[in-house]
Amino acid sequence: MMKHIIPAFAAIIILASCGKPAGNQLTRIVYDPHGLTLITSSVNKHLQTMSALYGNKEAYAAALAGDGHHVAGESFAFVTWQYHDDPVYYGSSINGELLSVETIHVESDTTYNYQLEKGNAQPVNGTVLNTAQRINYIFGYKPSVMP
Amino acid sequence: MNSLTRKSKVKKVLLGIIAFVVLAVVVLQFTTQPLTNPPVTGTIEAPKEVMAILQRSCFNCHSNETKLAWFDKIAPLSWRVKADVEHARQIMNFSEWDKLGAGDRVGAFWGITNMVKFDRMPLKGYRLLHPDAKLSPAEVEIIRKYTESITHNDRSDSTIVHDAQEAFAAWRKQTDTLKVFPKSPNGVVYTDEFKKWKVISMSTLFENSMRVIYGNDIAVKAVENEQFHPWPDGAVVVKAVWEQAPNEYGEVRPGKFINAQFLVKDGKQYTETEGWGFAKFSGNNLTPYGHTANFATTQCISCHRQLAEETGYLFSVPLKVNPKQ
Ligand code: HEC
Repeated sequence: MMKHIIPAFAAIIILASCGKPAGNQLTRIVYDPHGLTLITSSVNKHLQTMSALYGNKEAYAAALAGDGHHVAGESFAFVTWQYHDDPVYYGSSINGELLSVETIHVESDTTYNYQLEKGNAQPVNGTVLNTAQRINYIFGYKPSVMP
Repeated sequence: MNSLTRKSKVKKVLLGIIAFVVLAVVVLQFTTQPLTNPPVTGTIEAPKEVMAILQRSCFNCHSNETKLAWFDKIAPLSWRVKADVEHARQIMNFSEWDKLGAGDRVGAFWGITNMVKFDRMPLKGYRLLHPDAKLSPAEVEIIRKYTESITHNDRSDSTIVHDAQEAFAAWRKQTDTLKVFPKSPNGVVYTDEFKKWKVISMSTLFENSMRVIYGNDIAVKAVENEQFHPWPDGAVVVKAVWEQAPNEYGEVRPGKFINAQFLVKDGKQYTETEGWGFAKFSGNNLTPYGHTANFATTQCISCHRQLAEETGYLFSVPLKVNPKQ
């Protein structure tokens, strides 16, 4: 009898430990920018983060002009991930967990609505920026050159 | 019938079968052309300890100095060996190293490092009969360290930053857009639609480049559902590649545009490259890569096939992360 009970218990324990609760299932996630498109990206090797700046048409135009002028309707999202060594290609790194999402909506040429939607804004050169500085930092991004 | 005659009949039949098999194997030996060694045009030069590893474990397939064991030459095994060696030479040949530019040699060593680090080379089947070809962890380290040592950006940070600024200024002024999109020799046509697609991941490749990988809706769905075996036809993934331009914040930002690499899934058309149509469009003119329609069979797919099988032969597929975080 014991001969059968022990393996049965072992089997139950093994089976139970395999079925992870659904909430913690690791998944592959593609960030949804809610209709915005990518303007440019950056990599911070000290923080091991990668960021993407998304925007609507108006935001893209302002980033391209780069003259500090902004108009109502511009919508930006600045998204940052932790990056890791690529598990299948040594020498490469790839973004992983989402760390933060910051958005800026331009309400008028002088009113910018900054929101921290998720996480915390990463420091710049070791300093955590205040909202005005953070807006400046994000507005400083130029679009990536794409023929 | 008594059992004695039955036994002798069975014996006769068995002998007949054995004789037939032996004869067939002998005949097979005359059906195949033996593998020949083409002339060595320029052997790779590397430190002694690196050469020793390559010669022992790789030269039998990736060189023109193939020295096969007697059993490698017996058909039908010899067919497989011959096919592998001919394919391996086409992909990477240590006896024709002079045909590679300096950058390609470094690139080849990153491929080599990855193949040995992930235990993909020498091929598993080959190692069954040549167990001493396997690299020890210490030997993998020798290869890795050598690869790092020959990797340096010959472009200084200041040149990269300067070129990035110039490229941006010129590009911003540019008003004419491409009227006709370039086409890769295998039929993959460039499109700028990808600029509106979702970003599936971002990556860097050593100190050389930073990339953004875009996917169309079919590709995004496939990633989310892990539909990799096979990927659905119509999935398109585009990897845009730039130089790494450092800035005053200690970051790198996209500098000069290097290329856009397309992967188009069409299981019926691209049968020799696991269903993926490869294309690379380089520089501001988006010059397509490759001279013949099948360039990817010797220049792209091996690496994808050996290292990225798990994600349907695609690199830079988003990592698995905890969605609750
Ligand atoms: C039995 C023959 C054989 C041996 C030995 C062998 N290879 Fe290969 N190698 C191949 C074949 C065949 C391929 C193509 C695989 C494919 O297309 O999937 C290949 C592909 C490769 C590639 C991919 C090239 C590219 O980037 O497209 C690299 C790198 C490589 N081998 C490195 C090595 C190294 C390093 C060794 C020694 C440690 C080695 N190989 C030993 C047969 C061999």
